[in-house]
Parts: sequence; structure tokens; C-alpha cells
Amino acid sequence: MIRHEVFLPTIKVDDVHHNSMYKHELNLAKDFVSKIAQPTNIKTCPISGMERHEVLFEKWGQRYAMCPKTWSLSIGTMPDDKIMNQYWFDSDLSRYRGTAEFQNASTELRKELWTSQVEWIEGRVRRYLGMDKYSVVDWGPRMQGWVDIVKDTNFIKDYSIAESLPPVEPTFKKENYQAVLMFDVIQRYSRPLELLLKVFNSLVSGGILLLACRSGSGFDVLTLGGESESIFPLDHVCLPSPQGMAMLLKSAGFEILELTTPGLLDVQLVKKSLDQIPKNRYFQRYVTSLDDLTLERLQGFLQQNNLSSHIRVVAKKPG
Amino acid sequence: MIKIAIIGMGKMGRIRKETIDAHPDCEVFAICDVNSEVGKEFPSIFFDTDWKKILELQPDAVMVCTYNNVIPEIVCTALENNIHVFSEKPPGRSVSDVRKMMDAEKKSHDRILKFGFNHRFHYGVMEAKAIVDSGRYGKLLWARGVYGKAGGLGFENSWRSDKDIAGGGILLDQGIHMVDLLRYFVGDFVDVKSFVQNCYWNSIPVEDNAFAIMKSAEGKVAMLHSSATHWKHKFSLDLYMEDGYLCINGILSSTRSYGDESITFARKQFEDKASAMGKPREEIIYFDKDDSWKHELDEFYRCINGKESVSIGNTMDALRVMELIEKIYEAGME
Repeated sequence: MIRHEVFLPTIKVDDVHHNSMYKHELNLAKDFVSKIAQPTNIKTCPISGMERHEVLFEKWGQRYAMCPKTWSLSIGTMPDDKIMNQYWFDSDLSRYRGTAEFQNASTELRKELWTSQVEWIEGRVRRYLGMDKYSVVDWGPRMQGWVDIVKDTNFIKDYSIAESLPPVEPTFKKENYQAVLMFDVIQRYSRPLELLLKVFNSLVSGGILLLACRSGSGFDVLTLGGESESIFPLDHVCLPSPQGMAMLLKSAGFEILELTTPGLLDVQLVKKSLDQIPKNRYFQRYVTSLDDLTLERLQGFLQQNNLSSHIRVVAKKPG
Repeated sequence: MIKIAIIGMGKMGRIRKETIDAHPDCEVFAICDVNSEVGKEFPSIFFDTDWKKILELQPDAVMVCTYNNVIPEIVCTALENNIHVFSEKPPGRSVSDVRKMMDAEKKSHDRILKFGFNHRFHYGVMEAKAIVDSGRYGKLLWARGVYGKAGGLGFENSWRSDKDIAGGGILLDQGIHMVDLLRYFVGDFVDVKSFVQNCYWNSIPVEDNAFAIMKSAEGKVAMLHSSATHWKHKFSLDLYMEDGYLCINGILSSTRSYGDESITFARKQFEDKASAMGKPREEIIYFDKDDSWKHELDEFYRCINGKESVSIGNTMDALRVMELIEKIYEAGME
């Protein structure tokens, strides 16, 4: 129904990730993932349930398979829950991500982005729920700086946290909320429909879900594949395409109000990884050699046509 | 099921019929048009060329999609006969027409009278209203609206250019939507300066361009340009607030001649935040669907069922808009 274009020229890749810290994070993630099982068999797509045969790329021994129906990507054989829990709660990586050093530096870098995101949330809440204060549950946050910004906004009267990652403490009470926020969460769940059903059940009738996540059919993912520095296999076990996301939401019972891809960084991410692009991928090499203004317009085109790798959704629980 | 009769099966009557056909709780009960051939297109629906005969059938509601000059009589008669009324804009040709219809509405006690200001139900406008009302960009400072189309072949001989039938030119025909929107966002205007002109179609007795600057009691100024010589169709509404702005560009129509409908909005940023002064972070939402007719009918349906009163296109909106249009005409023709 709607398409989005966001013009934010001040945001660069390096504004989102602190270079040296990011490298350390990447090494810890790689170290963990390299030690777990690396199955070669491919199971059905966790989004559509379809048989899959195409492996798009492999990263750190994990094979990403493509859904033939929705173009979504996910790991061929999902690691079991024990491994995932260890990765998120009891690993060198999780401990590092929970440090004050990591949290503070990330918060400093992302403050502007988060402020824009909160403004977007407020805009959508006002648009669909009206002028009031609402009970909101934030599903799966992992940055204390984000939580601090959100909880003080003037459209929230009651803020809860569910299924958070360290150092953010969960405060979820089993009741029904008027809005659920879920940013960069679905991509780390191996059973995304199960998650969305839980979210659906936590909403009042007419309540809304505001969700953002990485997309498997976005420009930088398709272009860079396994060379993408921004994909960590266990952080991104499931990367729905816009079609896959729509299928998931509908299966969970949601009515989709908006499904767009207003990502800002696809072109920059590809340009940054230019050295990694194989020589025979002439199109990608040529495109990313274009001048900044053209690339800015290309990013706008990706945003407008749901081709960026950052999905944003507003969905409603009918009633 | 609400039984609706449509009077006037021109372009608007047909759009309304499609919308009613898609509504689960409304049905087209009868059709009227002065052209008897029209009836043959809808063999399963009662048809007559005389609107009075249609009203005698006592439909629950009537949709008046006729020329402007006959709107008041049909509206008043329907209300006198205890029939709910939805009428296309403009609400007649003058303020006195509106007052007549308001009197009939009052006498009818509980009958609904709603006028078609469908632009308020366009997604771009709904989005803009949510942003302005949220106060996130502070108070409104000023507004600027442009709504223009090309008169086209046969424009001089069209009913729209006949003063007796239409009552006014492009301002009353199309510009009325922009006047309504400026009121919707800014409030009522107390001071009006204007130029109302024939820039190109000199042989017609109604204007082909109207330019107005209007000031509200709070001192907020709005500029309006309504044109029949906009060779490239255009719809734009800019609303500037203390801490940000929004611009609605384009409006979805069946031919898409007004372009994509989009809303651009941004918080103001000076050189300490923006990459270049005057180039703040903007977000644009493009809307691919026009559900305005559906939303308008939904509201009419809810009002008939007593669930709410008419909030968009009520008789007070009609009166205020027509008063403003008369002021623009008066000031512009001095």
C-alpha cells in the first residue's frame, strides 16, 4: 500500500559500527560459529515450509539456503536452542556485547538513528492508534541506550521488556499491550512464526506491531552474499524477504498496514566491500564505482521498491 | 442493508456505484439520470429519468451526483421525505444554497446530510493530519496549496463553464477541495485577499484561475492557487510548523495525472545537524492506493447507523467553505 524513501545523508556505515569494536565482535562471533556443527543438509524453509535446494552462500561454515517461494534466506539446518542460548547468553560474544564499553560506544554512535526510529514509532502510533498514551512492550532489545530513549517518550504510559538480551533486563508481565516494538529481533529466531504468534497473543485487539529486521532479498545481501561483513550467521539465522515477511505476518493473524524497506546503507555496504566482490561481478563493481549522488539516488530507488535489506512493518491485530 | 439511490450517473455517480457495490452492507437500489440510455446499462436496477420518482420509492439514502444547480432542490426534497443524503461537492452554488439545505437538515431532525470532501480521506492527507495533530513539529506557521488542471478540449462549452449551472469556475469546481483542506489544517480564515481571473479561457463567464492569500484569526496565513490552466496537473499542499514541515505532493486519481501521491516530512535542521543548510533529513511516504471513496462511504454508513455524527463534510464544513469561496470571489473581483 505504501512505499518509503528516507533521506538521511549524515548516516554512514561507520556511524553504525565502531570499527575496532566491530572487528572484535566479528571475531568473537566467527570463533563461536566456527566451532559449532556445520551440517550440509538443507531443511525446509522456516517461513514458507517449502523444500529448498539452492544454497546462496556459505559463511563461517553455515549454509544459507533460499526459499523458492519467497526469496527469503535462512540457515539450512538451524542450530538447536541450546546452542542459540549459549550464543546469546553465555558466550564471550554475549559477555562482550553486555560490557559498558560496548553498550556506551554503540549508544553514542546510534543515538541519531535511534532518535529517528523513535520519531517513526511515534508517528505510526499516532497515525493508527490516535492521540493518547499507550502500553507498549519492547520485544528483544539488547541495547540499554535504546531502552533509555524509548521508555521516556511521551506516547508510552507503560513500558515492558520481553525476551531481551544482556544487559537489558526483561520486565514483561503476561497481559495485553496496545503496541509491540520488535527491532532487529526476528532475524535471530529459528522459528519466526512461533515468535510472531506469541507477539500476536500479547496484543489487544486492534493493537499494532512495529517491526524492523534485515531482509534476505536486499541489495547488499544479494550482492555480497557470504562476503557481507554485516551478516553474522547466528545473529541472522533467518532473513525474510518482504514476501516472506508478509507470509509470516498473515499466518500469525496480522493485518499488514505497511511493509516497506527504508534501508539507508545497502549501497554504502556494497561500496565498502568492493574489494570482496568477485572480479566477474561486473554489474556490482560498475554500479558501486558511480559518483555519490548517483549512489544516493540508487539507494532511494531500492527504498522505494522494497529492494533494500532493511524491512519495516506496521501490522495490526484485527478487531 | 442500506438501500441507496444514485441520482446522476455521470463520472461521479459511477464511482459511487462501484464503491457501494463493494460495500458489504449497502446496495444500489435505484438509479436516476436525465439520459434514458443510461438505464439500459443497469438492467437489474430500477431506473428513472425523474429524480422525484426515485425519492417516492423511499430509499434509505440518496447520493446526489448531479449538476450543481439542482443539488439544493434534490437534497432538500430528500430530507423532507425522511431520506439520508450524501451529496457531491460543491454544496450548491452559493452560501444561500447551503443555508437552505441546512434548514432542511434541521427540520428533518435525525436525517444525515453529508457532502463529498473525499480529499480528507486520501492517505496523504490522513497522514498529514496525524503529524500536525501530534504536535511533534510544534504549531502550524503557514500553509500553501496549489490545485490545478488543464481545462482541455471543449472546456468553454462544458457545463462547468456555464455560470447558471455551475455557479462558479475552477475555484468552486476543483479548488473547493483545497479550500476545504486549508480550513481543515489552519482553521477558519477571517481576512482574504485575492485575484480571480480569466487568464486564458476569456470567453467563459467563470474564472479559470483564482489566487488567494487568507489569514486566520490567530494570524496564520495560507496561500491558495486554483487553476484550470495548469497544463500539467498538479496537487501540492505544504504545511510549515515551528520545528518541521510536511508537503503532500500529488493526489491519486484514476488517470494518475496528478502523479504519485506522497508526503514528505522532516524536522527542521540547521547547519549544525544537516549536511547542508536547508537540506534536512527527509522521509517520504508514497501511497499506492486511493481508498477515499470507500472511507467516505464507510463514514456515511456509520452515521446512518447512529454510531457517529458526520465529522468530515458536514453542513458546517459546507457552509464555511462556501462562505470562504464567496469571500475570495468578492475580494478578487473588486
